[in-house]
This record gives sequence, structure tokens and C-alpha cells, in this order.
Amino acid sequence: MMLQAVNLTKRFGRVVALRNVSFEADAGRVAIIGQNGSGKSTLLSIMFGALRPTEGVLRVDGYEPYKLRERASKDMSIVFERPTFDISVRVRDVYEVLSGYGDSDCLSFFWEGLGVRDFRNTALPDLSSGEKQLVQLMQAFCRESRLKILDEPFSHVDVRHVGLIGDYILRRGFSVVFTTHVPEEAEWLGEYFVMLRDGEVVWHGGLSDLEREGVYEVYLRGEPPEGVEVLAKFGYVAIVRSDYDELVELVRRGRVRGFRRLGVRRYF
Amino acid sequence: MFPLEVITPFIAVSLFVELLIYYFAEGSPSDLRMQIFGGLLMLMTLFFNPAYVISGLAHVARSADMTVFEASMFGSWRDVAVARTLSLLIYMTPYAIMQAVVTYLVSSLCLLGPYVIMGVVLSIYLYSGIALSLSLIRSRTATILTSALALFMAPISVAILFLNYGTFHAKLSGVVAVMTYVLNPSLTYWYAITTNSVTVSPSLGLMACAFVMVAMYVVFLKWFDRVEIKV
Repeated sequence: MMLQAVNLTKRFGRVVALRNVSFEADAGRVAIIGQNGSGKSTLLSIMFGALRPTEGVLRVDGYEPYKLRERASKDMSIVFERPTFDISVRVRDVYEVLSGYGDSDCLSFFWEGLGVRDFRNTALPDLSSGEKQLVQLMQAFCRESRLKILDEPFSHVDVRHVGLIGDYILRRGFSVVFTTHVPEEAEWLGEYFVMLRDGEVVWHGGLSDLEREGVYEVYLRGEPPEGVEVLAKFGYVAIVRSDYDELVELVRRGRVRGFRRLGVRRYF
Repeated sequence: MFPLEVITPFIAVSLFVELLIYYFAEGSPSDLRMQIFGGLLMLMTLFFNPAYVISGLAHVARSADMTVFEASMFGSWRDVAVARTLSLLIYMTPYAIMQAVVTYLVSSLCLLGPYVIMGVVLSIYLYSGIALSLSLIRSRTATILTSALALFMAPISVAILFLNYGTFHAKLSGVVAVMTYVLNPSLTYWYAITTNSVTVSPSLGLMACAFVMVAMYVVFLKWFDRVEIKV
């Protein structure tokens, strides 16, 4: 899958949701990372063809999806974070429709494997946020489309289901573009990363581009240990400049829970 | 909206029966019959048609999220638009048939031609088309409220216009006459027959109504292709 943005800008009145976003990703799994309000959902809406850019272009496999909306809707399926379902269609109705043309292995995975069958008689508006997300994921994955666009796909899903779904994505080799504000999710599933802040790209590239010697993410137990140079702190995670052996010793002494090489959190 | 779907036809039938009793009463003069028929048309076009169209609209209107969900699940924006259109047309058709039959039975006794029946049917589908276009407003609640305003006010405005023109014995001509045929064709035809004050022919007026009706559906399908939705 080739994803290309060139000076992509989207304004809603005076609000600039995306500003001169440019990147080129030739990868099967692209992670769009950023905090709330960074423009992730707007970018995904343009990608699905549901929004048109104010300036610039976005191309998916060579074409602009908002100009060829019908083609885009055939090629792509989408999941959004907090849907408002306002018709009394039951989950089993969605399943029955998908059974007519969807991927049977995928349907079985969601229906039996993830337990969607357990709330089959519930109307869509009455589902919990996690259940809604599972139904959306079922629709997006099981309808045969070349690209799955996923907006915060795991934000309301049980931890054990997150693992199962992520493994399923990897096993089936789906092409996905997904957003997340959790760095670990991005690094687990992503092959290419686009980091957004306030509607602008602050960084984009592959994981290997992130590597930098001597800088680590450390999982804290309480306050950061003395004598360690802390570059930034995000709650229980600190970005530190140190060496490998020193951090191993800190883990052994119980001063920190663990550590790993610095990843996308660098750009938070 | 389910109670509306039951109550509306029930009230309609009850009132029709009552009016028909007067209508068919022995010795009932033809001008009184014509007035009663005008009352029937008023009831139909000012109240029942809009109410029924709105109940149909509640059936097909969707939130923006639901629209995107459907487009994603079916893999086609166009199929969603067409399905929504057909769903509304199928919902409205039994009602249109009922109105056409009642209008035929009653109008034949007034020796009115087929224009009034065509007007009743065209009006139902025209307002369905307008409601469908309004369904592209993002919020389902806003769609229903805006449609209620438009679908009730438009035919009422024609009745008010006739009242004023009738008071001053003025003739209705040109664009205004065509507009009244578009917004309330059956009532306009009835007014034209009873007062001889509409200079535009019924055939031209109903053609204009049919043209606008078709245009509404085309507008909806084209607009659906262009509507922007942020998920």
C-alpha cells in the first residue's frame, strides 16, 4: 500500500485541523500517532473519502479517494472511535448481512472467537462502547476491502481482545492505517509511523529511524531514580539518557520496573 | 414514529368517513360537495401528507456516523443513497395508493378529472424527495424538525395565498401560479376549478410539479455523493 500526502491542509472555518501534512508511506501497516486534537481523525476521514482537503492532496495507491469516492468505499473500510448509532438494528442483523458476502474465517473469528455472538440480540444504540467497537471491527475486517482504516480501534476493547485482534491483523496480513495515542500499540503493529501534533507532522518514518544510542524509555516505580538524566517524563514512563548496564542494575535493585529502547514516545 | 404510522391513517379514515357521510347525504348540493372535497384536500395536504412523509423520513434518516458505517459495510456510498431512496418510496407507496383511491372515489362525484388524483400522488412523492434531501443534515433530530417545518409550512403557505387572493378576487398567474402547483398541486387544481382564478393550465402546473419532484431525487443522489462527513 502506498500512502502519499502532499501539503495536505484541512480547515473547518477558522479551525485548521491539518496543516501542510506531507509524508510518503510504502508499508502494509501505517500508524498515525498523536494526542487528542492532533488531526488524526480528520486525516482518516480524508483517506476514506468522507472529507475533501482544503488544500494539497492525499493519494492512496495512486488515486485521491475523495475524488473517486465510490472506488474508495470499495477499496477501504473504516472504524471510528465513538460512533453514534441511531437505528434499532441488532448485531445479528449486521452479522447476517455480512455473512452474505463477507470473509467467513473473519466472521467466525469475531462471532465465536471474540464473543460478538453473546450480544447478538442487542440493538446497536444499546451496545457498550467496547461492544460497538467490536461490531465496527467485524464490519471493517470481514467485508473484503484492500485497506482497513481504524480510528483508535482498541480504545474501548478489553485488553485480552486487543491482543487477539492485533495478532489476527498480523497473521492475516491486512493492510491497515490506524490511529492511536498509545506508543506501544503503534510500535507493536506499525511498520511506518506518522506523528501529528496540532495538525502538523512532527516526524514520519520507520522504526529503525527512531533508534538512537543511549536513550531509553524507563518504566518507573515512583519517582525517577537519582543520578539518571531524565529528558522527559510521561506519567510512569521517563525518557532517560543512560547506558544499558546501568539500567539493568536499576531493574535488578527494583528501582525501575523495566526499560526499552526509545520509540515513538520520543516525539511526544 | 410507530404510533404516528398507526394513528395517522386511523384518524384519516375516521375523518374521511365522517366527511363522506355528509358528502353522500341525500340532497347534498354539488357546490357543498365541492366545498367538502376542498376540505378533504386541505386535511390531506396540510396535515396527513406531511405527517406521513415525516414518519417515513424517521425510517431513513441517519446520523453521520451511521451513514459512514453503512457506506463502509456495503462498500458503496451510491448503494446507500439508492437504498435510502427506495426504502422511502416503498414506505410511501401504500399511502399514496390509499390517497389516490379515496381521491378518485370522491372526486368522481364532483365530476373532477384525473388531475386532482395526479396532484395528490405527485405531492406525496415531491415532499418525500424534499425530506430525503433534508435527511443529509447531519443530525437525525435536526433533520426531522427541519423537515416538519418545511413540509407543513410549504402547503400551508399555498392555502394562505388562496385565502388572500380569494378575498381580493385576484387572479393567480405566472411564476406564482406554477409555484402553487408545485407546492400543493391538488389544492391548486381544486382552487382553479372552483374559482376560475388560476391562469396556468393544470397540465403545465402538474408538469412543473413532476419536474421538481424528479429534480429533488436527483439533487439528493448528487448531494449524497458530495456530502462531507468527519468521523
